[in-house]
Amino acid sequence: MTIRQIGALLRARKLSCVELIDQTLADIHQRDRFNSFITLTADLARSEARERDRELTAGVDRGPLHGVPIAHKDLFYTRGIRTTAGSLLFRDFIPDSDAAVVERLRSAGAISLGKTNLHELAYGITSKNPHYGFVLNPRDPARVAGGSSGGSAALVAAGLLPMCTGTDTGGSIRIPASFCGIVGLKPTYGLVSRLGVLPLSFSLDHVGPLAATVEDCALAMNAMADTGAPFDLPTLPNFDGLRLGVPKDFFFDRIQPEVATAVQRTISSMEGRGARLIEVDLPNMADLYTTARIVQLAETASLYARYTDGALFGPDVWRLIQQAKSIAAHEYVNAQRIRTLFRRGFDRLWTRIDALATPATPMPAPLLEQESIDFGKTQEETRAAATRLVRGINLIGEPALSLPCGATADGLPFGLQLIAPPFADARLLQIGRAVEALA
Amino acid sequence: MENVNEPLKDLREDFARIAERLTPDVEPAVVYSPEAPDSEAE
Repeated sequence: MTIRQIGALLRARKLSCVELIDQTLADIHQRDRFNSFITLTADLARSEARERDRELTAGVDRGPLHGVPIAHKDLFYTRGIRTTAGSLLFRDFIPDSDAAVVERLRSAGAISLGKTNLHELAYGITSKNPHYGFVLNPRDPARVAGGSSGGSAALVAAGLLPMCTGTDTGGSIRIPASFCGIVGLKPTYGLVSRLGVLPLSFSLDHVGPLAATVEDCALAMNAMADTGAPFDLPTLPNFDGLRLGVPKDFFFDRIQPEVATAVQRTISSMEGRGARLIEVDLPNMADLYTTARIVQLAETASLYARYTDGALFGPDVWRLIQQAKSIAAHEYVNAQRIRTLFRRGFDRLWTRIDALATPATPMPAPLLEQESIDFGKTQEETRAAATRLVRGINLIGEPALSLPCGATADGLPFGLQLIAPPFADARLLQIGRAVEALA
Repeated sequence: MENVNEPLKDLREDFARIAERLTPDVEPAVVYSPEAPDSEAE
């Protein structure tokens, strides 16, 4: 059920908040075979549900999220509830405060059922967590859910929750959204508070929602961001007046044919409904990707270089941290200097177009043990392939949305990525809703 | 023993080429800027 459908049932008194939470918990116990949760907070959720019921009876309605069950990626501080970051380092960490987003969603009436599983320290794209279990993809449990917000994506994809929180440093919202066939928004950098969210890379970390529909992402953003302006803008009847940028290269250079065909078909459908397609030369996206990696490695090293016991880490994360330590100061400084050039390049681009359409990932979810992806003439390491089309956008901070745009013959979904100018998040979601309606 | 830095070699070489090409076009990064004095408070 969508957030609005849940709200209609609650307000019509066809369902109480307590009944909804009990039913959702029963569903989770029965159907969650995906290692989606690290910690369930059933008693706390029931207690909050009783309070939300009392409020509705008294005529107090906190808005669309009132009584809606959600869950938080286990990277968000939750007061009195352990916050592991999917790591042994934080296995006993119990914060004494809530992350700003946790507090904002609770104030809007949402009821958290617990903390979702993730790639260790949010540093990876598979969510094959060696400490808390591999998150499996509900569309095909032999495949990864994607990461690092894998548990959040799996819960939404399985239809167990309408919305969960996530973070995105190099694609960690958009990659699992693409692999699980759901919607994920990486908002403009800084639009949603990172206060109380364990960092991975300070200048690349973004907080955002994962949901079953674009509208649910928009309703979540109304609570998550502190802008005062709504994110659920009126539905567009068509794309008249929209200048849609289509990249000449990079994004379509090395992707699986079924993904390319579906994304091109969606873009053509948008053109058929009034969008004006503009082929654009982008700033060098390969350079942007490389520069983003330098920044991330250096900033992550600043957090984790002090740890010396490799036994506390999964092998992939430990290896990345050791690599990160070798990034030199001059490399980090130059990466930050170059960043300004990309910023200017994209600022120029946004004078010509309103949004950019690309694939979100060049392939659907890989198998759990798959180490490389076949692109016909070339093979690419799974992690590099999954992040290739999304990571660079974190360096410039633009809002980017992944939404389902097709599936392979085997039924594996993948996403369309829509990118918009900074702080055009509401407009981006509005366009996304109209794309969703094409299906 | 595995050399953990080996996979980074290509990345760092790539980045060195990018930096050599692009850094002449940009000013130094501003990483710290003291607040301007409030003239009205003076």
